[in-house]
Amino acid sequence: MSDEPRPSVEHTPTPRLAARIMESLISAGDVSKVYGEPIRQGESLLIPAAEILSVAGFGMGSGGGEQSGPGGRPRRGAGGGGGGGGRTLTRAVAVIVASPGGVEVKPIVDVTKIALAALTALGFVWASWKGMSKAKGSRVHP
Amino acid sequence: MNETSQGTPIALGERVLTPVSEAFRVRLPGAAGALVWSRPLRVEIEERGLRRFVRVPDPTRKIQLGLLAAGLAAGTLIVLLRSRHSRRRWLSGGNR
Repeated sequence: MSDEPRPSVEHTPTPRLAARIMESLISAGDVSKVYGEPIRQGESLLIPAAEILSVAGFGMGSGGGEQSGPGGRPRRGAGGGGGGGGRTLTRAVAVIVASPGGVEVKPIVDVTKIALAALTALGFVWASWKGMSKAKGSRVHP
Repeated sequence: MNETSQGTPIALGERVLTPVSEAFRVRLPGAAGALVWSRPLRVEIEERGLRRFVRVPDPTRKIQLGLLAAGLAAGTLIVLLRSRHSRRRWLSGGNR
């Protein structure tokens, strides 16, 4: 083995960066992000509320090798890399209306998401029906 | 891990509103990944010494889950009924 230092995962900035991104991702679930800034509308106060989903993943690796070259001189090589990705999804859930008359929560119905769920459910039913029909048709009886 | 957290209280006349949210956090070991899901839970109202709360409903999520559960149940029922029906026909020799 040689005495020369090899690049290690600890010496690269990637893990630190990944940890920093992870911390900011964890803080995305904070209550201040779920509830928006209150909006004054006359005597009323409107507070928007949203659902937040944040996902992130990282991967990294490094390695090195050594082999004897021409003339018995050792040849060394090392490399490393990393990658990651993430996404944050938000959806408005409700608006809290605080007026002198009282506090009211007005829910927000996302018709697009409901329609997509309905299509998925119908697709599952249709696939079950068609799958069974195909299985029945291809069955060989003795 | 599931946890609730309170936001900054907002004063409106004699009323003080405190928003409360719920967060579900999953962190993979070694900082390799994380998932954070947060949603509004309730608003706590303090008025003249009385404390009450108003829940924040999520009808979209409820309808979505209802539709998906209904689709899953209907699909499973179709598979079960049709497989039972074809087995009966098979046993009685109806397909010959």
